[in-house]
Amino acid sequence: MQKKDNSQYNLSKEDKRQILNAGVDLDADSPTFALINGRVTEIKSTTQEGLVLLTLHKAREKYEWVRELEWKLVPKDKDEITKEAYKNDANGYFIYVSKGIKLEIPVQACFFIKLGGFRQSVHNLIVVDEGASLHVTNGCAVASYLDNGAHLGITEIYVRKGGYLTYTMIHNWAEGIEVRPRTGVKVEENGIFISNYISLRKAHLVQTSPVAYLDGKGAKVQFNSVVYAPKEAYYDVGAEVKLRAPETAAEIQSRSVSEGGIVVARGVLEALSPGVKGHLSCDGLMLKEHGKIRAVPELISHVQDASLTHEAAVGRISDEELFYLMTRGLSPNEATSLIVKGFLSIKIPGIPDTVQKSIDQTVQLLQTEDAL
Amino acid sequence: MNQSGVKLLVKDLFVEADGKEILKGINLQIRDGEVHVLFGPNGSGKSSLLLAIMGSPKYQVTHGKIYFNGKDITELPTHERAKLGIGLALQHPPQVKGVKLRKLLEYINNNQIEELAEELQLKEHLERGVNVGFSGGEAKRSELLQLMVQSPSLILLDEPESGVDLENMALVGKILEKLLKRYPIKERHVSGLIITHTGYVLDYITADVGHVMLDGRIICTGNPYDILITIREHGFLPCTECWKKELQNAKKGQ
Repeated sequence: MQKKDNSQYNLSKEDKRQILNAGVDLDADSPTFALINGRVTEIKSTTQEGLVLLTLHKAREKYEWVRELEWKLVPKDKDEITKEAYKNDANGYFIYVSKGIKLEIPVQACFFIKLGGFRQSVHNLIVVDEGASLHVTNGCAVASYLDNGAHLGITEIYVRKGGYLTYTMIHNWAEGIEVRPRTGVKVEENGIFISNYISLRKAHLVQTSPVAYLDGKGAKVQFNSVVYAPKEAYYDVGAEVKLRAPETAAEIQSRSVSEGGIVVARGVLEALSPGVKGHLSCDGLMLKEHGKIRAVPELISHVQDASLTHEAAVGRISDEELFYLMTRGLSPNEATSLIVKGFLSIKIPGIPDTVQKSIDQTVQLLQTEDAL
Repeated sequence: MNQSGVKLLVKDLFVEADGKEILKGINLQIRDGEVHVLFGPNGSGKSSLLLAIMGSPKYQVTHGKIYFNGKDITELPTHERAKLGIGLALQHPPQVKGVKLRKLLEYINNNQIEELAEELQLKEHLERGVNVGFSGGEAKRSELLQLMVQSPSLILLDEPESGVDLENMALVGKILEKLLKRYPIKERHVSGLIITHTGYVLDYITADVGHVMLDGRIICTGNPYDILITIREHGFLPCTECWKKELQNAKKGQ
């Protein structure tokens, strides 16, 4: 038998820093899942009552109902990404929280690529049972020297009746990396799902548009995204919500900054049941003469009794604000950086301080050196 | 040119904004520790003068010079003027969403923020976006708080009393006195240039020189209290008449 080389799975100090900048602290005493290249290298969950954290493959062996939930919210033949993940039988995490259990400490998951040119295929499944509550922080990063690779992630999320889930994803990619997550979310009666997506670094291409199905009366969903596109980065980031049950509500909020890169901010709200409400807001800030921000809000209603609204604004930093900060002695760069960070600092009501703090810290790491 | 003891010297300054001439040959000298007051009707160019001294990119100097402590700052960018010691409080400061007042103050000078905020009754506002949702009086106090932290040696104030109710005016007056370091008198070295419409601010701080601006020019310089009495009694009409006469005499003399 050939002896295996494990060096590609060992994390250096620098690697850990890259992951930390994606909001995941591998040394913290939290339930943690880590996938490096194509291998699950860490699963730590034992101390939390009511929490099951396994690989998806293990979970299938343990619970026969797992297979029934797979490929239901993300169709396996949706596109070449899903086909590839299906064909490879991609592994990922399985997170389950039992009825009524409210987990305060976030479960962290890290997806890391160390091998140049590696195509990381992932399939994750989250089930938040009735009345349970869970926070998941996903950090995706690559080794600092890497300039080529792909991350193709399938994530299916079930929020049962009265369940609550915050799902935060922080991307710390690099030039040359292609990222195409495919996410499907089903929220049942009075369940709440809050998604936060943050990416402030270069990436060759990020293309994602999670779809949420609000299937139970009173279900609520919120998608927040914060994107900073430096030169040559291409982000096509959106969210789609199908309000299929009465009195469901959705909010999509996006903040994009182009420092020469391209951002397409999409949002689709589709009303399919009476008494539903949806609001979509896109704000964009152009820092340079080149680059592009395209806001594509879409509202579709099939029913009379629905309220869907959107607002979108794209512009530059106001000269008045810039001058104002400069009168206090801030250089144009310092002033720009402060305004941009302020613009990207979204406050999300209802999420735990730890999650908000991790979002804030990520935004503070933003480098806008050549903004002007 | 000997400028010893001169804080600000504006020489024959012509300024344009949006292709329109706004300032038409301003001459002004403010010595160390002097407080000057600018009077004038709306649109006479008072705010433009302050903004031009601060280097606002909206205003282009087409002729003339601005010196600060003897140094030519006519071409200097705004933040460098601020670093040299010029501070400006706007009449209507903009809201800067997402930038906490505390964060901005820390950038300016991480010193005594808590105490000063307490004194200006803005402690809770430290955690809010700069001027976001502030009332008129709160925005004024926020300007003064930023100036206190910045501690400039030339202070440009655009109508510090506007939008401030009487109750708060005493507080604003007290802070202005502190900012301008008016006492003890023999240690005066911070200078000020204050725009006032009503003159109320003179109930709280003393001023040394008054100017009247009209149509982009300083048409009269004198004792600020004399000027204030005239304006309070008759408005700017006597100033306009006086200026007309002067122009006619100049024509006759040609």
